[in-house]
Amino acid sequence: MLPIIKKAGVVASLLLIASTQAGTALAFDNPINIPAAQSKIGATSALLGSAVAGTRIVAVGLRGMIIYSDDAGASWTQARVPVGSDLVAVNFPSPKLGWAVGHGGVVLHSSDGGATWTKQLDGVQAAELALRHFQGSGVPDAAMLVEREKNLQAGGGTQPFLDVYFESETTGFVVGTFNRLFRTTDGGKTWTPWMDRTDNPGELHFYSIRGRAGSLYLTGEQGAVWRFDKASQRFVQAATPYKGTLFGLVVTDKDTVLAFGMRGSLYRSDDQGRSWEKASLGTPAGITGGVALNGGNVLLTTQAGAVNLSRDDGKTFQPVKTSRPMAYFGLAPLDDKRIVLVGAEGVRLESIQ
Amino acid sequence: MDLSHNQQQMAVISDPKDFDERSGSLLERLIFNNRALLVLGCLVITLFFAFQLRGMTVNASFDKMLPHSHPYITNYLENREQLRGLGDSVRVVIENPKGDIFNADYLATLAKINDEIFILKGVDRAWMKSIFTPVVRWVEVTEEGFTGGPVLPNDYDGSAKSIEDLRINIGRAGVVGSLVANNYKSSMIQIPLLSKDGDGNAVNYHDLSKSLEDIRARYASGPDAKVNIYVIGFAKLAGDLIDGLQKVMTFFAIAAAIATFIIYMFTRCVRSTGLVLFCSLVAVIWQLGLVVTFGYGLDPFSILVPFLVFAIGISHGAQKMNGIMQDVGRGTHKLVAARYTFRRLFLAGLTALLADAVGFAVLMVIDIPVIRELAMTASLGVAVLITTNLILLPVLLSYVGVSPAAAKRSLKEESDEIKGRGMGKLWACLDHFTERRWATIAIVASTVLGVIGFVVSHDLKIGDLDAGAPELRPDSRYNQDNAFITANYGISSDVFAVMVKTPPDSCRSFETLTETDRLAWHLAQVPGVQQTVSLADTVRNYTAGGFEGNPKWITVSDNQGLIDAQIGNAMSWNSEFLNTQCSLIPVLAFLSDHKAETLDRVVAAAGEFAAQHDTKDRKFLLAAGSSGVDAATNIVVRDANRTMLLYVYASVILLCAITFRSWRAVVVAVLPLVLTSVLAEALMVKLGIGVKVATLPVVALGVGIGVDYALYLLSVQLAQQRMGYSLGEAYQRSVAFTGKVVALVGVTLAAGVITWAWSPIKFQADMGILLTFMFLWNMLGALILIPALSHFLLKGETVKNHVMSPAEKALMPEEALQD
Repeated sequence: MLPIIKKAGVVASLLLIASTQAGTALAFDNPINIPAAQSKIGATSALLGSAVAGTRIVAVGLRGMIIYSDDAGASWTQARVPVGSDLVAVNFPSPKLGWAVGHGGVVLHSSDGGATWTKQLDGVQAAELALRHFQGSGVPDAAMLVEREKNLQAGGGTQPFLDVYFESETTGFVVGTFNRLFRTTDGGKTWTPWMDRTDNPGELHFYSIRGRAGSLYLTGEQGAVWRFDKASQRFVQAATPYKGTLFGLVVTDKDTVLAFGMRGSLYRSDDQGRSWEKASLGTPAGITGGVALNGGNVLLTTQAGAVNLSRDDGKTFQPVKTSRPMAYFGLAPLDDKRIVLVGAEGVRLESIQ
Repeated sequence: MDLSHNQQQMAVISDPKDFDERSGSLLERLIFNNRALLVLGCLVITLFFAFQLRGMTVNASFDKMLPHSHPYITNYLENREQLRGLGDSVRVVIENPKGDIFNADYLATLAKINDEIFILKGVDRAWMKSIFTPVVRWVEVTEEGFTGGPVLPNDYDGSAKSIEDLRINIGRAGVVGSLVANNYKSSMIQIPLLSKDGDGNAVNYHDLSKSLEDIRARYASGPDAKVNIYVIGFAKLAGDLIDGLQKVMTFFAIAAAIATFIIYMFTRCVRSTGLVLFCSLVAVIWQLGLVVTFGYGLDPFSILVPFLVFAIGISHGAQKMNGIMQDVGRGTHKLVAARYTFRRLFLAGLTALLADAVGFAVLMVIDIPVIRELAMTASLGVAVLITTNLILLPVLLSYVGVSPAAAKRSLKEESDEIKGRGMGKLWACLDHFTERRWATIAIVASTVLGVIGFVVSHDLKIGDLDAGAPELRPDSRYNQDNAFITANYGISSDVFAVMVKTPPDSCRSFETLTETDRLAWHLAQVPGVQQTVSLADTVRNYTAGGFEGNPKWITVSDNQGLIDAQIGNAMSWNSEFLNTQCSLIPVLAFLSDHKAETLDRVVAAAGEFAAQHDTKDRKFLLAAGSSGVDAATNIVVRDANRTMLLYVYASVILLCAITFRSWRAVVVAVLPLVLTSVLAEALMVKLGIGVKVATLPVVALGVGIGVDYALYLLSVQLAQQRMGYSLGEAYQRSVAFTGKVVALVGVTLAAGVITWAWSPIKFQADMGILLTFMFLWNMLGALILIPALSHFLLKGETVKNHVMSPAEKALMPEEALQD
């Protein structure tokens, strides 16, 4: 186990960063350090991720925007968020506990169903954490991992986290660029770098992490998919034949895996990613979001404003009519009849038959 | 001079040989004893100025309508060259009324129009954008990397297949909403303009506008027109304004015709009507000639001046005529009559003209070049009138004379009126207002009107209230085109821009882009802001594009390397969201309207952000864009409106105090003007006219010229009272002697400006309506309220054995003096 990050250490490292960046501007607050601005237009501004916490809908988006609705989207309240960074994903393993991640390497946590959030980690801390973890650790490639982390730090800035997934109220993962992977088993109080537990020699970006009942998958650049292998406790390659980026994946309740990405790419595997078959929505638009519903139904959304429903475990899809299409970036099921869609123009609820 | 002396001097002399040429003032002798020389001199000057008119230019400069010393405008002007997105450009939209744009016929027409526009003078050809220009490209991220090409397929041949390719490319290029309408029924040609054409001359907006109209006429008119064409843009607007100005110039003929009719009705003498007209026209030629000689041109504001000069000239000329008519009617020789008239009226005319000049001069306090030029050219015009209508006119009269029949008629009319017959009945009716009952009614009614007006005027708005280009009428072709384009392309024409200024090459820093993004977000919260856009959005979208279009990368990364790549792309794709030095980023806020409240809110939000976020190296400068200019203008106009009222009333009060030497008389003279000012504001509320650059001169002119009536009426009335007449008698005489003149002045001034109500230029129409109202209402106010107020304030002015001042006496027609 890693030592718990001490508050004082965090402050010290921030001051260090602040002082090295101070040459360019007199007064500048990095978005990872200041609260999100108050806004009344959150529900109609670009939102990247959504989740349902009990009966509450939570959506996250640009500039630290997190909004929630307790009346099925009729009204929205802006949550109290300690960062102004662009948030890209949110996950609620239980009605009260949730996590959101985004640029600046921020990991936010809420224990009140999404109304108030605290920062558990940011990119500066994550980098320090990774360095400290691998320096002097016994993992096989420790020296290389330290070198990689130093190179990233030297490049300036932070590395974003691009997805978050919690298997339980305590155990979860955040993933990001350049093979970035952190795991917690204590609800985010401490985070452990897991970069040594991936078969990712090319340091590809991880774009999503999803699982179901013990299975766990990552998608990333160049058609890559990784499956978590319990025996070796590693993410092993389960790559598709595709060469482009896979934005995300869905694991259905029949354990079928659907990986999707740019230019309408869609790949289906019913053997945990050992073999893939190409599926199609018949669109060249990027597929940006997907959820598995009960009974083998799957929903996928595209950047061109299409929502597609499969009733046969992801073999075939039919378009679902929505009231006002927009470029969709993600979705979450509210109940059997309604879904929450987020995208370029905010959040909308649509019903599905 | 006392009365008896004066009477001796103005004896009826039928033969000029009996007239003592050495009588009269030095000025009079100088003029009339050298009248041939004077006429010759005026002829030479007139010819010179008429010759100068060749160089007359008509322009509509927006720069001159800017309040130059306001910090927003200073900021804007300093950075204007760098603000490419807000620069000069024209947008031409070609619509297929019978279907969508994917039609071979439509596309063939579009291609022809595109080619014709491409070769127009002043077009920055390299950056002209349409679906037919090679700079418009589609780019797509594929598994292999970027691919792309021009939107118009290289093998385009109008076949169904190549049209289908075009359709796909349009989708891939993301030009829907910018170059292709949201409903696919029209497409746009964006035409950036050069600041100087190939020969180094400034681009001629009027020529460009005409060329575009010519294209519109050839392709989009007639029953079998294949397309509809819509044109908007700064150059087109300027062209339309110049067209409007030329139309307004033709109104001059109508105004002149109306004035001619009025004056003929007044004199019933062709000779003298012609002469008054002639002298007033000479004044206009001189005034315009002076404008050209000083290197100015006519603009939508200064075109007011010839109309006013002409109208004022006519009314003063008519008074001269009035005097001469009566003298000639009594048998006095025309030369002697002319000299008598000069003697009687020169000083009064001078005073009235000086009062008008005060109205103009006060305009100088407004720091807006068009208004200052208006003030200057108007002052020149008034100065010219002193020569042409107070000096040249009587001299010419001394040669030409008047028709004897008209002269006799005039004399009879005059005595009829004094005896209360004919028109005199109407004037006599006004006498009742000196009595307690009528005076009370008049004053109570005015008070009620004033209170209502005051209450209504609280809704008076600052700035322009209609949608579209406020310079033109809401239903003008330009504004219809603007509405069409706004509706189909999702672009608001009301843009408020904040300029983010950094040292060179610093616009790209994560800090600056983050702050820029924060400002855009801050402004987006303001009610009335539809959308904001800045370089931060460009960087966000390009970054996502660089990551296979993944929406999770719609961000400004804190990794400078990622930003730099996008800034490089923005530079090479000629983004309008940064300058070439990377030292200026405009943050654009598209507004739902340009109402003052909306602008105030945006200004407050932007100012607050700037105050909190400005650093030594990063400044947030207000304000550019049409709404930035509107906001600054509103601020200046709001202040100027108050200052203006203060100054104009102060000067009018001073002028009245000098003339009347009685504070009570000042109150009597000024209160009707105040009522008019209040009612004019209420009228503005009712007509939906806001306080703006164009209405400022109206306030000053309305009061400055409006006081003329009071000067005429009250000075005679007071003179009569001081001669010992009771208030009732004094006013009766005053109305009889000057009522006609007051009415004449009101009507001719109104006739001079009412034609403007039909101007295609909105603010001119507003000015015309308001001035007409003020000139007429001031006249009514003077005729009704002066006696009513006098009843309560000036009864005590009646004294025995008072000696009139020359100015007072000068206003007296012969009849009164003989009384």
